[in-house]
Amino acid sequence: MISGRVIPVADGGLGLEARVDIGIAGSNSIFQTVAVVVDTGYSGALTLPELIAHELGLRSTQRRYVILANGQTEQVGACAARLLWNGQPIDVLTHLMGDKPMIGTALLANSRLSIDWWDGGDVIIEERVPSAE
Amino acid sequence: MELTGKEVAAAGRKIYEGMREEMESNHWGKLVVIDIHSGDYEVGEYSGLQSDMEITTRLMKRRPDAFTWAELVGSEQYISARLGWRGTMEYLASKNKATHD
Repeated sequence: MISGRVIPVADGGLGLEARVDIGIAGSNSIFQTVAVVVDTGYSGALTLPELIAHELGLRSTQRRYVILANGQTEQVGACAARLLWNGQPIDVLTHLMGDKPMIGTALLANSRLSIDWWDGGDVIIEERVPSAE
Repeated sequence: MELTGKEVAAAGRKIYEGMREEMESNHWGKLVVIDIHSGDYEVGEYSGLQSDMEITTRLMKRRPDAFTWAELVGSEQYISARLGWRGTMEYLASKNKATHD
């Protein structure tokens, strides 16, 4: 299980955001804790700002298209990042963009996401339990 | 040599154009990941972003210094992910900041 908190959007933004901490491995293979925003509107796995990727020793070795909410397509740098997810290390294609790290639905696949949408509310991501049927 | 993102995309598309006919004949619907430096590539079944990761990893085992571009065979553009409004605002804000720095 991964847990976090609902907090006001940082940097003077409006509203709330759901945040969890995840471990992301740097180039030295040591996992470092990174606070990420849960964004179910993002169909990818993980975004990292280029500055944080640089600090982790991850470099852009891929180039991929993403499509913005306004329908515009853009190319962004990408790389493979190893993160700890439900206690297991997994490698995910990571888009290098934005100012805040985000996780999206590709990472949330086969998980239960529950959010108490108020300031200080709980964010819980649980691995899907196979049905007994 | 360090290439800009647009140069990487242009190089990737150029390599892909040279193999498009063969790819469309034999690998329709699959994802091809191309190392733009060597021209080496890896093809695999596409079933979402994680399959991109797996195909790219196979290529990078052979080519650890690869810089990759990907095409979905039979599609005009391979879109690796969709951003919601939050991601879009993040993307545009950081892009504007980079432009003004």
